[in-house]
Amino acid sequence: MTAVLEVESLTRNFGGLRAVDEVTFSLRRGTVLGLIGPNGAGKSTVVNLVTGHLAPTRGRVRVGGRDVTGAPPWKLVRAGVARTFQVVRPFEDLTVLDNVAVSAMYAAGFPARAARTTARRLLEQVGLATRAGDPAGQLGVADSRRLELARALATHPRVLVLDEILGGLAQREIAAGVDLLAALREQGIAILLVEHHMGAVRALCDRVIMLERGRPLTSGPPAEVLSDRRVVRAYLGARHPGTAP
Amino acid sequence: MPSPAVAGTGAATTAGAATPAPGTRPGARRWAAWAAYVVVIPVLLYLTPHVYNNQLLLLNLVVYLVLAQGVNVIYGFTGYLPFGYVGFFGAGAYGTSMAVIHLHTGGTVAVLIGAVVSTAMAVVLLPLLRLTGAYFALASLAASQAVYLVIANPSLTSFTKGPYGVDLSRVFNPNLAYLYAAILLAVATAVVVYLRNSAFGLSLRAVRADPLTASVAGINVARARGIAWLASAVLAGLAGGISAWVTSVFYPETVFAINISVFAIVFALFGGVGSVLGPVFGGIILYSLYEYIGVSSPQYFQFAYGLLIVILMLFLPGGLASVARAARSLWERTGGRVHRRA
Repeated sequence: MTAVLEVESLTRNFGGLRAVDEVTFSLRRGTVLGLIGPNGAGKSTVVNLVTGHLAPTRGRVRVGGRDVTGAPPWKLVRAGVARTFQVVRPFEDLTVLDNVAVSAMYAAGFPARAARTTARRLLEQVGLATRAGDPAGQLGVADSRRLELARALATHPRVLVLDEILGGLAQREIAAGVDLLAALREQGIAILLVEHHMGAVRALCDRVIMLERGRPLTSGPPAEVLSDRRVVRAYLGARHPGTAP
Repeated sequence: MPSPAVAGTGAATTAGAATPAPGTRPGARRWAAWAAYVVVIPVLLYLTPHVYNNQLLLLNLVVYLVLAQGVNVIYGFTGYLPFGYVGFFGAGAYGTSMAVIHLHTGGTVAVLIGAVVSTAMAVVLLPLLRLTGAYFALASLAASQAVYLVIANPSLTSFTKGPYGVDLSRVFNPNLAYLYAAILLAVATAVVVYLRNSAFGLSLRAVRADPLTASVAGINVARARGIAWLASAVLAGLAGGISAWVTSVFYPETVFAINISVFAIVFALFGGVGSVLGPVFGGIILYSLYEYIGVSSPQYFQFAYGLLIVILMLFLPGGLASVARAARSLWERTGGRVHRRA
């Protein structure tokens, strides 16, 4: 099975700062790749490079074998790469349903009526069906995240790039979120999961890449990476007692 | 939707069933209502000169209503406040004049050429859409004044007649121009109806709410904004051309007066941007007021309208339309009993 998303030697400089340095990975259908690392490690920059919000200084991004390096976000979405934002930004004065439907129209190319049918089904799937007619600005944090996910799913993605979608959620909401993402993986969607919640990373990821200062420090199955001494040190500091897994 | 709060009450009370959201296919009755808005008001205005015998004043009113709808298209659906909107009006007026003077066309063809000129100006000014908020408003104003200064330049007198003005009395035909103005109002209203009900209109509102999220929803943000910008420029260009045709003899400062922008914006804001009829009613009310009181003391009106812009944007961003909508939703919730208590 070929990879749906291939990233090759991805590099991005901001002036003299190299925020992302030679990051290479590929993502197959129905798999989850975790991207972890301390704040400022370059995770969000990788997300922005992969989804077209930033152009790489060097390197390639391919979706389904097609080179999409440097394409704008709306083209990447249409090519099958959907994303969520760390800070949710719904269309506040549009209804929850229209928030999702507009994605189905423009990213997936559905006509208005079919787009709304799809949007209803997705709201059902993420557990927001009862809020369909409310303005999106009235949703709380957890529901806004659900909406963000539904909006991304409405683009009919092959690859879902989730930027800390579980951040700031309560334990119960995280568990529900993990179940939801596991179901999406079963549907065959490839997921790039940027996440600080290690329980979720352990539960969902097939592989994990640990970034530090823009560079991949280590990668492998989650159990292996999360117990790596360097990873523990990067997260908790060298002198933290009792860090042995 | 002009204001989140008002949109909220409307959507919540009707649960999305009675008022179809933009992009859905509204029922036959709703279509009939839209069609009536598009056709009836222009027809009534067209027939008004038989009752109230001041066709020139009425033509100016209709032209302003078109401009208010043009502001509605660009500001109501994309959030760009075009203080330089008069630039398109002036470009249309001068495009029309140049066609009459140099190409010796009739009025109809000249007005269409005027629209082409204003559209060309909008294409050149597309990069302005990279700016936002007050920066855009000021830049568009500056652009309109730049065009004015070029046209009024004495060294271009042989082409634009410079500051000395143009004379189109050769093609003078106020009755035909008034018919065109009424048709143009119908077209402008139809454009707004389309934006209220189409997927494209929904995408514009998404872009207005959050351009970044819109881009990850697959919307080509620059293209969507550009189309709205060009559509509003075409409307203003046609309005400028018709206005020039009727005014017949005028100067650059007549058709590039900032007042024209201010009036169009105030009328649209007062009536309610984002709504179909708001700008029309806002324009009819405020322009009538201006004609009755303002002509004798125009300086107070400039002050009053400036103040009105500030007050409306701060306290009533949805204009009259939002008041009407709130009243209707109250009426529906109380089952029409609200008046008995009063």
